[in-house]
Amino acid sequence: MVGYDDTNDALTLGDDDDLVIGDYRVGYNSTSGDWEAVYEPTGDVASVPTNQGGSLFPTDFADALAGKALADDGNLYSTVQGAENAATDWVFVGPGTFAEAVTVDTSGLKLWGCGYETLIDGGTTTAITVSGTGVSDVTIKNLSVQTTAAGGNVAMGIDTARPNTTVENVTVRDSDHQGINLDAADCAAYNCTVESGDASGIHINTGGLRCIAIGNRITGTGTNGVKIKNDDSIVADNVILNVGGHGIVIPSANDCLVGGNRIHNSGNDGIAISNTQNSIFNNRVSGSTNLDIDDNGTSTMLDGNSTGAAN
Amino acid sequence: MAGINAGTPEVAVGEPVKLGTNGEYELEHDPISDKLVVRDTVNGTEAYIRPETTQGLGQKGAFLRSLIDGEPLADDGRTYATIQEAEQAANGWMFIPPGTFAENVVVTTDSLTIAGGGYGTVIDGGTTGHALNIQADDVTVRELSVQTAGGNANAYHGVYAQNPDATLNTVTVRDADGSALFLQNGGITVVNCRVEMCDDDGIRAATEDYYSRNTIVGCHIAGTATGIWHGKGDDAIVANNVVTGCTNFGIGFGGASNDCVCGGNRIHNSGDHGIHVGSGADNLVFNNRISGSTNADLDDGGTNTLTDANVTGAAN
Repeated sequence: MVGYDDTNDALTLGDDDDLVIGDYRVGYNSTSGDWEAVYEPTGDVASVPTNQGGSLFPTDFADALAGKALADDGNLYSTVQGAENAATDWVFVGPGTFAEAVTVDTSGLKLWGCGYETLIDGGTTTAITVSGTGVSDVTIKNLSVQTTAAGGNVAMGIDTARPNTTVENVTVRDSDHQGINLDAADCAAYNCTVESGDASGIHINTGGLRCIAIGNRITGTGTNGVKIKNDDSIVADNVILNVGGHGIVIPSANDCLVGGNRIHNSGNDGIAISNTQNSIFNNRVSGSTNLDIDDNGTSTMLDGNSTGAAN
Repeated sequence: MAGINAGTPEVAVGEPVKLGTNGEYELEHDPISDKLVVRDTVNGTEAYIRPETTQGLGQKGAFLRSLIDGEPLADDGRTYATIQEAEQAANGWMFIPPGTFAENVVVTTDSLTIAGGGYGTVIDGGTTGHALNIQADDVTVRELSVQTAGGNANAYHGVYAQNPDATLNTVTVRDADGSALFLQNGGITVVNCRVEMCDDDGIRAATEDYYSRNTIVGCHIAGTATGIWHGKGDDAIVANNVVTGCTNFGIGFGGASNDCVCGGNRIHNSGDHGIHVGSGADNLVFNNRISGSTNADLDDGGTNTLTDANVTGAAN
């Protein structure tokens, strides 16, 4: 039976249906798995060649995917948002620049790019926002994001207000506001890069309880490398270079662990601490405009940190 | 218009079939969406047709078919009805699309990488067995969920790693009848994983025999008996994990664990000690933040344990 798929603007044909175009009858041969065009006056048949078996991916997969996003409904979309809206669990974004602000509100979604060449450019709006009642366990990985400075310190690279969000191998090329904002419990940022931005590179916000930021590289942000505003978070093994503010700042968090970080050339303090019982350990901090470690906290555990000019 | 292409109607992949004397229409197959593109070359408009059924697609676009059909894909280019069948067919790599798979998967292919579709790929062992049972070396499992059900009567684990050098990366254990991750060999790496709940210990390592060099880093663990337990064997690393609300220890080392490293962990609200070190020797416990333990936050029963810069006492 002939149907119409209005999501993808396509006719659907059953196995026994044909489309007649003038003298031609076009149909799907389910036995051979090929589309065929039959010229009715003579009966000549032309098969439309399709990708043949043995390969994991169709031929020209990479080229076909450029500038498009593939959802797990099997359809290609010209926008990441279109794919996210259609997807149940998984979106794969091809290489290219996508000028859009994406909202991820599908619980458990894996939003997966082709790497640095997949760029989501939010313009003056946050590039990727994770939100929605009951949404959790979203993974964003292998892509770039950016927003422009003209947003007026509003547009972030990635902003999540939903728990258990994992951001991995994401590059923030530039950001009008924070690069990666973790604003819900149990979120994580692993192996990300913040190349530039107007505010903090990684921001563990007031909703960001028990967040983890490990193995990230942050350079050239306008304010801080990492800012921590909720408790029980772990910030470890990050490289933070040439940021305009503090390398790592804890303005309002307790019981956090900050260890094993390399911080150099911060425009303010290397590590600035407030609040209570935070552990700052085994960091190498150098070249800070003000103090390498500025401890204004209560019962801060400082242990094994190395400060002073770099070699 | 008249005729199909003069000469042979056979065209190469990627070339359109031209209909009409002057090629007024073109037919071309879109390899990604598997739709037929019907193009009017005179005015440039296009229409799309797709088959209702995927029957007969064979091995065309196997990755896409894996997603559409929800069937696991092996590196022989074929999709299979079950994860187990894909595992048996695969040489080095397989993909499990999003979906729930009621299976007890046994991995016997050395060096296999099992890539999931993220949190939405669920291996559900039910009450009949472990969700994922690794019986091969150098297996990598990444980006999927596992679960088993029951009341600790059967002790079926989320992942049971019986061979060395496995890597578990971004695996979520939604629930387990036994342990979430049961590591019974050496050189196993667990990184960036999550345990939502389980009946026994969240990560339970080296209890069946002596195993060394297991690494557990950057995980979120909650709702377990002991959060991370390492029983016997040396040189384990347990670092930068967040462990909350466990009914037994947050992190514990058995009496036959030596030279282990336990640092940079945040442990809160353990039902027994936050960190327990048994009678082993030369273990390092440093820079942990431990709070809310029912018993002592840090319990050191070892020999020559290096404890340094741990912060204990009530959370703020």
